[in-house]
Parts: sequence; C-alpha cells; structure tokens
Amino acid sequence: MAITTAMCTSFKGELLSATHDFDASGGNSFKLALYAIGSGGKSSTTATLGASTTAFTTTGEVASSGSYATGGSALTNVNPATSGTTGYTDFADLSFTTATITARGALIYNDTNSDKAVCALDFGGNKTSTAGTFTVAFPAAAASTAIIRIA
Amino acid sequence: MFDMDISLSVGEVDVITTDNRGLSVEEVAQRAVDKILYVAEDAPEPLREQAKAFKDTVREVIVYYMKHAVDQDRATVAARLREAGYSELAKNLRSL
Repeated sequence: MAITTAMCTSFKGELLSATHDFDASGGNSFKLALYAIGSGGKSSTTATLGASTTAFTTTGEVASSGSYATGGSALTNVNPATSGTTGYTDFADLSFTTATITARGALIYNDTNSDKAVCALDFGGNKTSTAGTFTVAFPAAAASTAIIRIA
Repeated sequence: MFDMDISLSVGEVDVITTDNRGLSVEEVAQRAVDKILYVAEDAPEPLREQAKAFKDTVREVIVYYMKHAVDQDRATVAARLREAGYSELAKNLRSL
C-alpha cells in the first residue's frame, strides 16, 4: 500500500488516441484529488496510487473538509508549450481553505473523459492542515521541471 | 528502421499547509514569484545571481501591492458591514 509519483501507464496509451486535451481554452477539465495512506482516508481505507492506476478512485481519498469535497477540485489548465525538444504542460496552484486534511499524495485525472488517470503524486510524507489552507503548488512551467513533460 | 526514445516525466509538487489561518501575503507572493521566474540550476553563476536579485525585487513589489489589495478589499467589506449596521464587526475587521 503506497503512493508513488508516476505517469499512469494508461495515460501514455491514451495520449496516442487523443483522449486528453490540456488546452486552457476548450480543453478537458482535469481534477486533483487528495489521498491518505494508513488512517486518515475515508472509511479507514488506504490509497495505492502509481503507474498502474487507470482512473479516479475513492479508495483512500481524504474526507471532505472545508472547501475540499469528495472527488477533489478542478485544476486550471495552462496551455501546453515547448522548450527545446521538450513539450510540457502546467496547472495553476490549487488551494483548499478552512480544511482539516492529512494527505500523503494526490491523483490528477480527466474529469471530462471518464475520470481517466493522468499521474499520481507522492508528497514524500504526510502533509497536514488544521482548519487552515492546504495548497498544492505546481513546479515551474519549464522543460526540466513542469508537472507533465514529454521529451 | 529507426528508433526514437521518448520519455514522459512528472514534476515535483510542493505542498504548503497552515493551521487556523489562510496563507499570508508573503507566502502567496513567494508562490507567484516562483511561477513568474524560474532559474535553472545549471545556469551560469552570474546569471543566477542576477535572476535571484530580480526575483527578490519582484517579490517585494508583489507583497506591497497584495497588502494594498487586501487592505482595500477589507475597507470595502467594512463599509458594507457598517451600512448593514455591524459597526463593531467592521471595526474588528479593520483592526486585522
């Protein structure tokens, strides 16, 4: 039972069938959901996320709190760009306010297309907010750092 | 026949959390600066130093104007509260 940062394998295949559109205008709607391992998830479940994840799951998702609701929140797409031989895309940072949350990782999934998984994110440890703000800050939109890169 | 190697990578996210409060102006400004200007780790030292100095300046400007925006927004909310008869609440809001 673990959360591992990985591009979901199913997503790689779906890219070749044009399932995902990251355009800021007219693109698909992507969501980010938070997950716990051990105790902390809904119904005492624990999350297992990684390359083999194919779609959004409620197993191990953190409970609703403050502005966090089951299923997570919509991300704001940033138009895909290229630099050198690398293509990449980015999202605006996402914050949940007045939230009491303990999360170990997250899943980005395509809310427009059957909740298909994009990538799993491991926070490296439990992150906790208590009646406060829980912010997921995306890396700089650059060829060597962006959240999703194709080189 | 030919082969092409293509790799897909996932970047590292940061998680910022608070207890019993929202993010401060300084914390939000840092996020903004990190989005506006990224300095590659392998950039030449003089460039890195210049970029860092510019980043510090941008951060100060953002902090100043964000504080101004927060203050102006609170002034507007306080005015609406006073109009609605909540003068004490308006006073408390302005003292934050």
